[in-house]
Amino acid sequence: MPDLLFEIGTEEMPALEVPRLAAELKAESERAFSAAHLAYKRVDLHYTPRRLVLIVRDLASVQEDQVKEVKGPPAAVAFNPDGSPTQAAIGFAKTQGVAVEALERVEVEKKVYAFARQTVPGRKTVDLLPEILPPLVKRLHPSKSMRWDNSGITFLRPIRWLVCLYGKEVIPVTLGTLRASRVTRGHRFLEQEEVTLESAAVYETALEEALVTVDPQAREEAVIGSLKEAARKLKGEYLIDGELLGRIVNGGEHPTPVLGHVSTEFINLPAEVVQATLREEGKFVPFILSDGTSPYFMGFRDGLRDEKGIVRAGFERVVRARLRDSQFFFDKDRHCPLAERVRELRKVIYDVRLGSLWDKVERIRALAGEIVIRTGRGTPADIDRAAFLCKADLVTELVKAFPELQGVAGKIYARLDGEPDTVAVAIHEHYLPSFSGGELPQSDVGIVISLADKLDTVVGALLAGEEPTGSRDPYGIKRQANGLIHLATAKGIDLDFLDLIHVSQEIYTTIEQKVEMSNVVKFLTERVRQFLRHYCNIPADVIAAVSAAEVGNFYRLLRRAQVLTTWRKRETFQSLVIAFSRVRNITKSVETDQFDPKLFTQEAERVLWREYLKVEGQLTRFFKTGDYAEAIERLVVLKEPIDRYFDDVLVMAKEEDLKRNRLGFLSALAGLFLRIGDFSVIVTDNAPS
Amino acid sequence: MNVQEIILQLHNFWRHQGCLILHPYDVETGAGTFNPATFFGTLGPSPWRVGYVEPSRRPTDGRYGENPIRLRLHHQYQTVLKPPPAGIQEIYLTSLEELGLKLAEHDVKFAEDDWESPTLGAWGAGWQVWVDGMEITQFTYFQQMGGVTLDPVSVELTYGLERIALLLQEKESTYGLQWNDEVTYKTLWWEKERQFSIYNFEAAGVERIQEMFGLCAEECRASLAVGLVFPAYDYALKCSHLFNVLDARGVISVTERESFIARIRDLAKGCAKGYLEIGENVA
Repeated sequence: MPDLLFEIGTEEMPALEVPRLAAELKAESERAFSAAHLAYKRVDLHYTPRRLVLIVRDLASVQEDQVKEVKGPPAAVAFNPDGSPTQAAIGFAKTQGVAVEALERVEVEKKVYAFARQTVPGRKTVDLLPEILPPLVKRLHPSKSMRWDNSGITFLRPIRWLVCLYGKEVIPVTLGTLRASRVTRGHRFLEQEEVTLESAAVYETALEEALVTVDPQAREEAVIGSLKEAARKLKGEYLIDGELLGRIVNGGEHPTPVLGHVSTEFINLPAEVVQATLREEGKFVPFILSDGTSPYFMGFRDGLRDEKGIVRAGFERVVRARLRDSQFFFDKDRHCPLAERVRELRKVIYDVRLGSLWDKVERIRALAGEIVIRTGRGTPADIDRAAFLCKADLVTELVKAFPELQGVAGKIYARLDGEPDTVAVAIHEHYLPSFSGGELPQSDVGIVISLADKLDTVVGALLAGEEPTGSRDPYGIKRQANGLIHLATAKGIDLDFLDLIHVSQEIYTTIEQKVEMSNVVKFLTERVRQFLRHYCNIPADVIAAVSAAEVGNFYRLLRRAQVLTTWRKRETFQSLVIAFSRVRNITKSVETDQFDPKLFTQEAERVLWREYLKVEGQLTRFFKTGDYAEAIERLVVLKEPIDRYFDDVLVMAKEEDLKRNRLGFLSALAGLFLRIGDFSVIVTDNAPS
Repeated sequence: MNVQEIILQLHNFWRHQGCLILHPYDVETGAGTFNPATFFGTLGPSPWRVGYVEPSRRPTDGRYGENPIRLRLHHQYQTVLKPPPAGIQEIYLTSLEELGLKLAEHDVKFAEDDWESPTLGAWGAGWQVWVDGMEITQFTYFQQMGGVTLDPVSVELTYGLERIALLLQEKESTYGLQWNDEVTYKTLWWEKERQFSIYNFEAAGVERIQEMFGLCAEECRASLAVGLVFPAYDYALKCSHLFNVLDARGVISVTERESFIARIRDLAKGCAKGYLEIGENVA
């Protein structure tokens, strides 16, 4: 079977958006081909900033035959008693285009109808494609659509050509004023830009010859390959994130490396500033050498190798000009110590409802102080100094020019100002983690300020009524909450955050609160559940189980969940769950856990009571230390006496006082388990690992 | 190629593309887009092609003449094509070749940049064109101007003349450029940059300028009320420039900023609306 090639040629699309649009095109085309009953092997996806390309491998040349059934009049109307067709049947058969003799009787919901059934032969693929392909383009969702002519077509950028080949045959697909042909375009800066394609099969190689690497994976491998090679030669590392990599890989059709050198005149500019300038101003990739300096960078030219060094000279000239700008900002910032800048934060609005950045700093100081008292982490003096300085760099020229340097600039300036190193480090660390799963603060001071800042942001935004909906999250509070939870669990912060939010709320004295505190509790509870599920791989039933107990101490919540996740696979645990479920089910609606041992009448009751007392004492200790594995170990001891209890004792005794006493006791017993979680919701059979 | 040769070359190139060659507007503007030849030219259905130089004043970008590339006043070469021809990107690239830039030896990128002007109530989709990492042109398909959705759309090409000259003359500082073969950019512009930077950042009379802003806005509205859109637009431009001076002077708070911009936008929208009501053919 031949391959189908459909290429949408455009003016340069935004690098970061192309991959998403291409994936959408692939999904839409797969859907369209199945809906059209066209068989194929697979859809290959290629893209560059100038083209979205579908290659459908082994596409069937004919649509599968379709059996079409149409319900007609009821049999009683369609046929005379002797079985001969009535006028109604004849008319129906005619409109359906079948012989009246071919009508069938089919029972539908206990009533018989005349049915026309016919096999519709599949249409030819070449005839179908002009109907299938153009609507795909209209079904894509660019972040922003534009018009460029009067065709009525809108897209991310102007569409300038179409190629559509089924095997060797051109399929005359049209879109707006364009009509597909076999002529594509090679790299923009080749002398002969147009490339005529013999067939769909030669597409990739023909374009590679025309200096266009259509496979994004191949471009990425080439880019990473040259970065690794250069890093090895320089005995350093390259610094790149997903966004910069995406801009390079999808910002050109044939990225070719150009290694550049940073002029020695910037030897005294901190490496972080050099790196940020390279990244932000030129989309260049900085290298960091073992001595911490960044004297080299790699740019990517779209085209052939820069044999004459013209591009390299140009890149270096731009870098020099930009670094002079950064140097100017840096020198200007150094005229005023960080501590004196804090005053300027009064003039910077954090949010109209939540006050200035100064107000935020004051709240961070108060919350951080509270966290120190509750956890004993860090020295109060350092924490207060770091909290006081943590936002001061936001009014420096450097951070205004490079927002990504927030925190980093603060750390550099604090050190130069002679602040304690713990304070300087914490100014940087309090922004961490800066993305999901990113690096965490390591120092106690950094951890405390980070927790305080994040909690303040989340509580403030929620109280102001900015609860995230769908993809709208202007304060990024989902990320902030995740960062908080990640930090608290990873660093073992033994602190009830659902209690701490009330301290945070009290600090917000001036704000008009749009929502109840219960919404904040709900939001954080949901975030922590999501975190357990997606970040810690805790099974859903375990999350449900531990959520029945206290959830505000995120660290302990995770510990309990991890212990239960391990235990739920053991056989002993499964029988314990069964035993507990009996206790739990019978006591669900019981409101008291009061009982009087004197009212126990049976030996099994007294045995269980004695075991209960022993275990309760032990558990109190383990709960204090957070040793939940040991706690469950002790609970297992209760299994036997519980089973015996239910064998021997009739809980729902006729005597009301006996019954109430037994239920009260069982309630107390259930309460022991419920401090870890509701074991009865744990799925133990064939529990997935 | 010196700066004035670049200008002459671009004039020559675009006149052959059917552009009217016009002149800078004689009221201060922040960009060539503010020139009536673009603002009104892009409105309405009639075809329109124009090219001109626009000295563009950006008070906040002033650096007292101390920064090699940031300028309080830079020169744009502005081209507008309505409707845009299908090969407009290629035509643009040819114009660079004709300036003596051998594109095959350089790195040329069309880097996404969706332009918008909140004060003009305008936005478009397009790019910054980068040559060897230096931004030399803003390339925009205008979608809206003065709050009016454009039909047909226009393409605006805004060449940064100083940037292109830096590239062609292989210089690192704007002040080292040759305007012609005898006169340098520094001779012509350095002292002006220094004085205007001091004026904009330190000396401008805040109360007088605020008063002027109010008077100009009033004059704009009064002219609009009697259907005089072109005089009205001149005063909207003055408002825009006075706002930029106040902004550089550091006296506009975050919240005030929004309301200043909204006021200017309303004036611009009024001008666009009035212009379309009169009927562009009268223009």
